[in-house]
Amino acid sequence: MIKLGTFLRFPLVLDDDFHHNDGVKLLKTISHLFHPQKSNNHRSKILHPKPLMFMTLIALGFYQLVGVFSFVNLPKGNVLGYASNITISQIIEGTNKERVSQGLVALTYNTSLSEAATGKARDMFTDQYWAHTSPGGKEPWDFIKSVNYNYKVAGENLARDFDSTTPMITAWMNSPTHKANIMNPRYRDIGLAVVDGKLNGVETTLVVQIFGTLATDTESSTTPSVEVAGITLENFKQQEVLATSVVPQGYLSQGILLSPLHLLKAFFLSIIFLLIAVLLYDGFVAGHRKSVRLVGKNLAHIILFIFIAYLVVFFKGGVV
Amino acid sequence: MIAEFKSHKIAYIVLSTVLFICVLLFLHFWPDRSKQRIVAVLMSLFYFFWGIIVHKNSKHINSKVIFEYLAVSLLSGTILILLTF
Repeated sequence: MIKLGTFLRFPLVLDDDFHHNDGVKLLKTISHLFHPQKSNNHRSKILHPKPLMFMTLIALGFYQLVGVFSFVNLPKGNVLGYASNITISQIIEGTNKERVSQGLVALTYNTSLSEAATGKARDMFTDQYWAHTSPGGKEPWDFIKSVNYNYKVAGENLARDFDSTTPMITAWMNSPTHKANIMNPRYRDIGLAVVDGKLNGVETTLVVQIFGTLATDTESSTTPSVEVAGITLENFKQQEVLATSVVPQGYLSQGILLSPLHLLKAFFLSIIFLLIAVLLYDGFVAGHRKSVRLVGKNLAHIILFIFIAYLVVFFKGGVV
Repeated sequence: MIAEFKSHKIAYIVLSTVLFICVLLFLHFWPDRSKQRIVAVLMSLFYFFWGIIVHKNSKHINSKVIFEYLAVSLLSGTILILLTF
Protein backbone atom coordinates (compact mmCIF):
# COMPACT_ATOMS: atom_id res chain seq x y z
CA MET A 1 0.00 0.00 0.00
CA ILE A 2 1.28 3.47 -0.82
CA LYS A 3 2.03 5.76 2.11
CA LEU A 4 0.62 9.28 2.07
CA GLY A 5 4.07 10.75 2.75
CA THR A 6 5.52 8.84 -0.19
CA PHE A 7 2.65 9.97 -2.35
CA LEU A 8 3.12 13.62 -1.46
CA ARG A 9 6.87 13.42 -2.04
CA PHE A 10 6.69 11.65 -5.38
CA PRO A 11 7.88 14.57 -7.58
CA LEU A 12 11.20 14.48 -5.67
CA VAL A 13 11.72 10.73 -6.03
CA LEU A 14 11.08 10.27 -9.71
CA ASP A 15 13.42 7.31 -9.77
CA ASP A 16 10.92 5.37 -7.71
CA ASP A 17 8.66 4.32 -10.61
CA PHE A 18 6.52 2.08 -8.49
CA HIS A 19 5.50 4.85 -6.11
CA HIS A 20 5.29 7.37 -8.90
CA ASN A 21 2.86 5.28 -10.93
CA ASP A 22 0.79 4.47 -7.88
CA GLY A 23 0.65 8.12 -6.91
CA VAL A 24 -0.50 9.16 -10.36
CA LYS A 25 -3.10 6.40 -10.41
CA LEU A 26 -4.41 7.47 -7.01
CA LEU A 27 -4.59 11.09 -8.12
CA LYS A 28 -6.46 10.11 -11.28
CA THR A 29 -8.90 7.97 -9.31
CA ILE A 30 -9.61 10.77 -6.84
CA SER A 31 -9.99 13.24 -9.68
CA HIS A 32 -12.31 10.84 -11.53
CA LEU A 33 -14.45 10.38 -8.41
CA PHE A 34 -14.82 14.02 -7.47
CA HIS A 35 -13.87 16.32 -10.35
CA PRO A 36 -16.21 16.65 -13.36
CA GLN A 37 -14.19 15.77 -16.47
CA LYS A 38 -14.34 13.85 -19.71
CA SER A 39 -13.61 10.47 -18.06
CA ASN A 40 -16.77 10.75 -15.90
CA ASN A 41 -18.93 12.42 -18.54
CA HIS A 42 -18.44 15.81 -16.83
CA ARG A 43 -20.22 14.72 -13.67
CA SER A 44 -18.37 13.69 -10.46
CA LYS A 45 -18.35 9.90 -10.63
CA ILE A 46 -19.51 9.61 -7.03
CA LEU A 47 -22.81 11.24 -8.09
CA HIS A 48 -23.54 8.65 -10.78
CA PRO A 49 -26.34 6.15 -10.05
CA LYS A 50 -24.07 3.12 -9.55
CA PRO A 51 -21.76 4.70 -6.94
CA LEU A 52 -24.82 6.10 -5.16
CA MET A 53 -26.36 2.62 -5.07
CA PHE A 54 -23.02 1.33 -3.81
CA MET A 55 -23.17 3.89 -0.99
CA THR A 56 -26.56 2.46 0.01
CA LEU A 57 -24.92 -0.96 0.21
CA ILE A 58 -22.08 0.53 2.27
CA ALA A 59 -24.67 2.03 4.67
CA LEU A 60 -26.35 -1.38 5.00
CA GLY A 61 -22.97 -3.07 5.46
CA PHE A 62 -21.95 -0.60 8.15
CA TYR A 63 -25.22 -1.23 9.97
CA GLN A 64 -24.42 -4.96 9.98
CA LEU A 65 -20.87 -4.23 11.09
CA VAL A 66 -22.15 -2.24 14.07
CA GLY A 67 -24.17 -5.32 15.02
CA VAL A 68 -21.00 -7.44 14.87
CA PHE A 69 -19.00 -4.87 16.86
CA SER A 70 -21.59 -5.02 19.61
CA PHE A 71 -20.11 -8.39 20.54
CA VAL A 72 -16.52 -7.13 20.75
CA ASN A 73 -15.38 -7.00 24.35
CA LEU A 74 -12.69 -4.84 25.86
CA PRO A 75 -11.09 -5.68 29.22
CA LYS A 76 -13.37 -3.08 30.84
CA GLY A 77 -16.53 -3.92 28.89
CA ASN A 78 -18.14 -3.73 25.48
CA VAL A 79 -17.07 -1.38 22.69
CA LEU A 80 -20.67 -0.53 21.89
CA GLY A 81 -23.64 -0.04 24.16
CA TYR A 82 -26.02 2.44 25.73
CA ALA A 83 -24.75 4.15 28.87
CA SER A 84 -27.42 5.73 31.00
CA ASN A 85 -27.84 7.89 34.06
CA ILE A 86 -31.48 7.04 34.69
CA THR A 87 -32.42 6.83 38.34
CA ILE A 88 -35.48 5.45 40.08
CA SER A 89 -36.11 8.68 41.98
CA GLN A 90 -36.10 10.67 38.72
CA ILE A 91 -38.63 8.29 37.14
CA ILE A 92 -40.96 8.52 40.14
CA GLU A 93 -40.63 12.29 40.13
CA GLY A 94 -41.28 12.48 36.36
CA THR A 95 -44.24 10.11 36.50
CA ASN A 96 -45.88 11.87 39.42
CA LYS A 97 -45.27 15.25 37.81
CA GLU A 98 -47.29 14.13 34.79
CA ARG A 99 -50.06 12.71 36.97
CA VAL A 100 -50.33 15.70 39.28
CA SER A 101 -50.45 18.07 36.29
CA GLN A 102 -53.67 16.28 35.28
CA GLY A 103 -55.16 16.35 38.78
CA LEU A 104 -54.36 12.70 39.58
CA VAL A 105 -52.94 11.45 42.85
CA ALA A 106 -49.18 10.92 43.06
CA LEU A 107 -48.10 7.27 43.18
CA THR A 108 -46.38 5.80 46.22
CA TYR A 109 -43.15 3.87 45.82
CA ASN A 110 -43.76 0.22 46.64
CA THR A 111 -40.82 -2.09 47.38
CA SER A 112 -42.76 -5.26 46.47
CA LEU A 113 -43.61 -3.90 43.04
CA SER A 114 -39.97 -2.83 42.62
CA GLU A 115 -38.92 -6.37 43.48
CA ALA A 116 -41.32 -7.63 40.80
CA ALA A 117 -39.92 -5.09 38.30
CA THR A 118 -36.35 -6.18 39.08
CA GLY A 119 -37.38 -9.81 38.58
CA LYS A 120 -38.88 -8.94 35.21
CA ALA A 121 -35.78 -7.01 34.09
CA ARG A 122 -33.45 -9.86 35.15
CA ASP A 123 -35.70 -12.33 33.37
CA MET A 124 -35.47 -10.33 30.12
CA PHE A 125 -31.67 -10.30 30.32
CA THR A 126 -31.46 -13.96 31.25
CA ASP A 127 -33.85 -15.17 28.54
CA GLN A 128 -32.83 -12.42 26.10
CA TYR A 129 -36.19 -11.01 25.13
CA TRP A 130 -37.82 -7.62 24.95
CA ALA A 131 -41.54 -8.03 25.50
CA HIS A 132 -44.25 -7.95 28.09
CA THR A 133 -44.60 -11.72 27.85
CA SER A 134 -41.51 -13.96 28.05
CA PRO A 135 -40.77 -16.64 25.42
CA GLY A 136 -41.84 -19.16 28.05
CA GLY A 137 -45.20 -17.42 28.45
CA LYS A 138 -44.43 -15.64 31.72
CA GLU A 139 -46.55 -12.49 32.00
CA PRO A 140 -45.91 -9.31 34.02
CA TRP A 141 -48.61 -10.38 36.47
CA ASP A 142 -46.66 -13.51 37.32
CA PHE A 143 -43.80 -11.36 38.63
CA ILE A 144 -46.23 -9.24 40.65
CA LYS A 145 -47.90 -12.30 42.13
CA SER A 146 -44.52 -13.84 42.98
CA VAL A 147 -43.83 -10.99 45.44
CA ASN A 148 -47.26 -11.47 47.06
CA TYR A 149 -48.65 -8.14 45.90
CA ASN A 150 -52.34 -8.92 45.75
CA TYR A 151 -53.53 -6.41 43.18
CA LYS A 152 -56.90 -5.48 41.82
CA VAL A 153 -55.40 -3.49 38.98
CA ALA A 154 -51.86 -3.58 37.61
CA GLY A 155 -49.89 -2.36 34.61
CA GLU A 156 -46.40 -2.43 33.15
CA ASN A 157 -44.33 -0.04 31.05
CA LEU A 158 -40.97 -0.95 29.56
CA ALA A 159 -38.14 1.14 28.08
CA ARG A 160 -34.60 0.56 26.89
CA ASP A 161 -31.65 2.34 25.25
CA PHE A 162 -32.41 5.73 26.81
CA ASP A 163 -29.51 7.75 28.17
CA SER A 164 -31.52 9.85 30.59
CA THR A 165 -34.89 9.96 32.34
CA THR A 166 -36.57 12.97 30.71
CA PRO A 167 -36.60 11.65 27.09
CA MET A 168 -37.79 8.28 28.38
CA ILE A 169 -40.78 9.83 30.20
CA THR A 170 -41.47 11.94 27.09
CA ALA A 171 -41.42 8.79 24.93
CA TRP A 172 -43.87 7.08 27.25
CA MET A 173 -46.14 10.13 27.21
CA ASN A 174 -46.00 10.21 23.39
CA SER A 175 -47.12 6.60 23.18
CA PRO A 176 -50.90 6.30 23.81
CA THR A 177 -50.72 2.89 25.53
CA HIS A 178 -47.84 3.85 27.84
CA LYS A 179 -49.44 7.20 28.59
CA ALA A 180 -52.69 5.42 29.49
CA ASN A 181 -50.77 3.48 32.14
CA ILE A 182 -49.05 6.55 33.57
CA MET A 183 -52.30 8.51 33.67
CA ASN A 184 -54.51 5.69 34.95
CA PRO A 185 -56.43 7.12 37.93
CA ARG A 186 -56.91 3.65 39.44
CA TYR A 187 -53.25 3.13 40.29
CA ARG A 188 -51.91 3.91 43.74
CA ASP A 189 -48.48 2.25 43.84
CA ILE A 190 -45.45 2.23 41.60
CA GLY A 191 -42.47 -0.11 41.48
CA LEU A 192 -39.37 0.42 39.37
CA ALA A 193 -36.26 -1.36 38.22
CA VAL A 194 -33.37 0.18 36.31
CA VAL A 195 -31.11 -2.72 35.43
CA ASP A 196 -27.96 -2.77 33.30
CA GLY A 197 -27.14 -5.82 31.23
CA LYS A 198 -26.56 -7.23 27.78
CA LEU A 199 -29.50 -7.62 25.42
CA ASN A 200 -28.73 -9.19 22.05
CA GLY A 201 -25.04 -8.48 22.58
CA VAL A 202 -25.52 -4.77 23.26
CA GLU A 203 -25.01 -3.42 26.74
CA THR A 204 -28.01 -1.38 27.71
CA THR A 205 -30.27 -0.29 30.55
CA LEU A 206 -33.73 -1.79 30.85
CA VAL A 207 -36.37 0.13 32.74
CA VAL A 208 -39.39 -1.70 34.08
CA GLN A 209 -42.18 0.37 35.55
CA ILE A 210 -44.96 -1.53 37.31
CA PHE A 211 -48.16 0.08 38.53
CA GLY A 212 -50.66 -1.42 40.90
CA THR A 213 -53.35 -1.00 43.48
CA LEU A 214 -53.80 -3.47 46.31
CA ALA A 215 -57.02 -5.44 46.41
CA THR A 216 -57.48 -4.19 49.95
CA ASP A 217 -57.33 -0.56 48.82
CA THR A 218 -60.79 0.94 49.33
CA GLU A 219 -60.05 4.44 48.09
CA SER A 220 -59.64 3.56 44.42
CA SER A 221 -62.40 2.28 42.14
CA THR A 222 -64.12 -0.97 43.16
CA THR A 223 -64.30 -2.48 39.65
CA PRO A 224 -62.94 -6.03 39.23
CA SER A 225 -59.29 -6.95 38.67
CA VAL A 226 -57.78 -5.56 35.46
CA GLU A 227 -54.36 -6.12 33.98
CA VAL A 228 -52.95 -3.46 31.67
CA ALA A 229 -49.65 -3.40 29.85
CA GLY A 230 -48.21 -0.37 28.11
CA ILE A 231 -47.68 -2.39 25.01
CA THR A 232 -47.72 -1.97 21.27
CA LEU A 233 -47.81 -4.67 18.63
CA GLU A 234 -44.19 -3.83 17.84
CA ASN A 235 -43.18 -4.61 21.40
CA PHE A 236 -44.49 -8.15 21.08
CA LYS A 237 -41.68 -9.00 18.67
CA GLN A 238 -39.25 -11.23 20.43
CA GLN A 239 -35.65 -10.62 19.57
CA GLU A 240 -33.05 -13.17 18.67
CA VAL A 241 -31.34 -14.87 21.59
CA LEU A 242 -27.65 -14.08 21.32
CA ALA A 243 -26.25 -13.84 24.82
CA THR A 244 -27.25 -14.59 28.37
CA SER A 245 -24.94 -12.61 30.61
CA VAL A 246 -26.20 -10.08 33.10
CA VAL A 247 -23.98 -7.12 33.89
CA PRO A 248 -24.06 -5.70 37.42
CA GLN A 249 -25.75 -2.33 37.79
CA GLY A 250 -23.52 0.70 37.38
CA TYR A 251 -21.15 -1.16 35.09
CA LEU A 252 -22.21 0.31 31.78
CA SER A 253 -20.92 3.85 31.92
CA GLN A 254 -17.44 2.55 32.76
CA GLY A 255 -16.97 0.07 29.92
CA ILE A 256 -18.85 1.48 26.94
CA LEU A 257 -16.98 3.55 24.39
CA LEU A 258 -19.77 4.38 21.97
CA SER A 259 -23.48 3.83 21.54
CA PRO A 260 -24.45 1.98 18.34
CA LEU A 261 -26.84 4.82 17.50
CA HIS A 262 -24.14 7.49 17.79
CA LEU A 263 -21.78 5.44 15.66
CA LEU A 264 -24.44 5.03 12.96
CA LYS A 265 -25.26 8.73 13.12
CA ALA A 266 -21.60 9.69 12.69
CA PHE A 267 -21.18 7.37 9.72
CA PHE A 268 -24.39 8.42 7.99
CA LEU A 269 -23.59 12.10 8.53
CA SER A 270 -20.15 11.64 6.99
CA ILE A 271 -21.76 10.08 3.87
CA ILE A 272 -24.31 12.90 3.67
CA PHE A 273 -21.78 15.71 4.15
CA LEU A 274 -19.43 14.14 1.60
CA LEU A 275 -22.26 14.05 -0.93
CA ILE A 276 -23.32 17.63 -0.17
CA ALA A 277 -19.72 18.81 -0.61
CA VAL A 278 -19.34 16.93 -3.92
CA LEU A 279 -22.71 18.21 -5.17
CA LEU A 280 -21.68 21.79 -4.37
CA TYR A 281 -18.30 21.34 -6.07
CA ASP A 282 -19.80 19.58 -9.09
CA GLY A 283 -22.44 22.31 -9.44
CA PHE A 284 -19.81 25.03 -9.11
CA VAL A 285 -17.51 23.50 -11.75
CA ALA A 286 -20.37 22.79 -14.17
CA GLY A 287 -21.73 26.32 -13.68
CA HIS A 288 -18.31 27.86 -14.17
CA ARG A 289 -17.75 25.90 -17.39
CA LYS A 290 -21.36 26.46 -18.46
CA SER A 291 -21.52 22.72 -19.26
CA VAL A 292 -24.75 21.34 -20.66
CA ARG A 293 -25.46 18.04 -18.90
CA LEU A 294 -28.47 15.79 -18.68
CA VAL A 295 -28.24 14.91 -15.01
CA GLY A 296 -30.25 15.19 -11.80
CA LYS A 297 -30.59 18.57 -10.09
CA ASN A 298 -27.76 19.19 -7.64
CA LEU A 299 -29.75 21.79 -5.74
CA ALA A 300 -32.62 19.35 -5.18
CA HIS A 301 -30.23 16.63 -3.97
CA ILE A 302 -28.58 19.14 -1.61
CA ILE A 303 -31.95 20.22 -0.18
CA LEU A 304 -32.93 16.57 0.39
CA PHE A 305 -29.62 15.69 2.04
CA ILE A 306 -29.80 18.74 4.33
CA PHE A 307 -33.23 17.57 5.57
CA ILE A 308 -31.92 14.01 5.99
CA ALA A 309 -28.87 15.31 7.90
CA TYR A 310 -31.20 17.28 10.20
CA LEU A 311 -33.20 14.14 10.93
CA VAL A 312 -30.07 12.08 11.56
CA VAL A 313 -28.75 14.69 14.01
CA PHE A 314 -32.03 15.09 15.89
CA PHE A 315 -33.16 11.46 15.78
CA LYS A 316 -33.85 10.35 19.34
CA GLY A 317 -32.97 6.86 20.46
CA GLY A 318 -34.69 4.70 23.01
CA VAL A 319 -37.36 2.04 22.65
CA VAL A 320 -40.61 1.79 24.59
CA MET B 1 -27.67 27.35 -8.23
CA ILE B 2 -29.55 30.60 -7.67
CA ALA B 3 -30.38 30.66 -11.37
CA GLU B 4 -31.53 27.03 -11.12
CA PHE B 5 -33.79 27.92 -8.17
CA LYS B 6 -35.26 30.89 -10.03
CA SER B 7 -35.99 28.84 -13.14
CA HIS B 8 -37.92 26.18 -11.15
CA LYS B 9 -39.13 28.30 -8.25
CA ILE B 10 -42.48 26.55 -7.75
CA ALA B 11 -40.95 23.08 -7.98
CA TYR B 12 -38.36 23.91 -5.33
CA ILE B 13 -40.94 25.50 -3.05
CA VAL B 14 -43.09 22.36 -3.32
CA LEU B 15 -40.04 20.17 -2.67
CA SER B 16 -38.92 22.14 0.39
CA THR B 17 -42.44 22.34 1.82
CA VAL B 18 -43.18 18.62 1.49
CA LEU B 19 -39.76 17.65 2.85
CA PHE B 20 -40.24 20.05 5.76
CA ILE B 21 -43.62 18.45 6.56
CA CYS B 22 -42.02 14.98 6.36
CA VAL B 23 -39.32 16.09 8.81
CA LEU B 24 -41.94 17.40 11.23
CA LEU B 25 -43.96 14.18 10.96
CA PHE B 26 -40.87 12.02 11.41
CA LEU B 27 -39.96 13.83 14.62
CA HIS B 28 -43.58 14.00 15.78
CA PHE B 29 -44.09 10.22 15.52
CA TRP B 30 -41.22 9.44 17.90
CA PRO B 31 -41.09 6.97 19.67
CA ASP B 32 -43.36 5.05 17.25
CA ARG B 33 -40.70 3.72 14.92
CA SER B 34 -43.16 2.00 12.55
CA LYS B 35 -44.74 5.34 11.72
CA GLN B 36 -41.30 6.91 11.36
CA ARG B 37 -40.38 4.22 8.81
CA ILE B 38 -43.57 4.92 6.86
CA VAL B 39 -42.68 8.63 6.75
CA ALA B 40 -39.14 7.75 5.57
CA VAL B 41 -40.53 5.61 2.74
CA LEU B 42 -43.06 8.28 1.73
CA MET B 43 -40.34 10.94 1.80
CA SER B 44 -38.13 8.86 -0.51
CA LEU B 45 -40.98 8.06 -2.87
CA PHE B 46 -42.01 11.69 -3.02
CA TYR B 47 -38.47 12.79 -3.87
CA PHE B 48 -38.16 10.17 -6.60
CA PHE B 49 -41.41 11.18 -8.28
CA TRP B 50 -40.71 14.89 -7.78
CA GLY B 51 -37.45 14.47 -9.70
CA ILE B 52 -39.08 12.52 -12.52
CA ILE B 53 -41.97 14.98 -12.89
CA VAL B 54 -39.74 18.08 -12.85
CA HIS B 55 -37.35 16.59 -15.43
CA LYS B 56 -40.21 15.33 -17.57
CA ASN B 57 -41.83 18.76 -17.58
CA SER B 58 -38.58 20.36 -18.68
CA LYS B 59 -38.03 17.54 -21.21
CA HIS B 60 -34.62 16.81 -19.72
CA ILE B 61 -35.09 13.18 -18.88
CA ASN B 62 -33.37 9.93 -19.68
CA SER B 63 -32.81 6.61 -17.96
CA LYS B 64 -29.67 7.88 -16.23
CA VAL B 65 -31.57 10.75 -14.62
CA ILE B 66 -34.29 8.32 -13.45
CA PHE B 67 -31.67 6.01 -11.95
CA GLU B 68 -29.94 8.94 -10.28
CA TYR B 69 -33.16 9.98 -8.51
CA LEU B 70 -33.84 6.35 -7.67
CA ALA B 71 -30.36 5.98 -6.14
CA VAL B 72 -30.56 9.23 -4.14
CA SER B 73 -34.05 8.35 -2.87
CA LEU B 74 -32.94 4.84 -1.96
CA LEU B 75 -29.87 6.09 -0.10
CA SER B 76 -31.76 8.70 1.92
CA GLY B 77 -34.60 6.30 2.72
CA THR B 78 -32.17 3.57 3.75
CA ILE B 79 -30.31 5.92 6.10
CA LEU B 80 -33.52 6.95 7.86
CA ILE B 81 -34.93 3.44 8.07
CA LEU B 82 -31.67 1.99 9.45
CA LEU B 83 -31.70 4.63 12.18
CA THR B 84 -35.10 3.44 13.36
CA PHE B 85 -34.01 -0.19 13.89
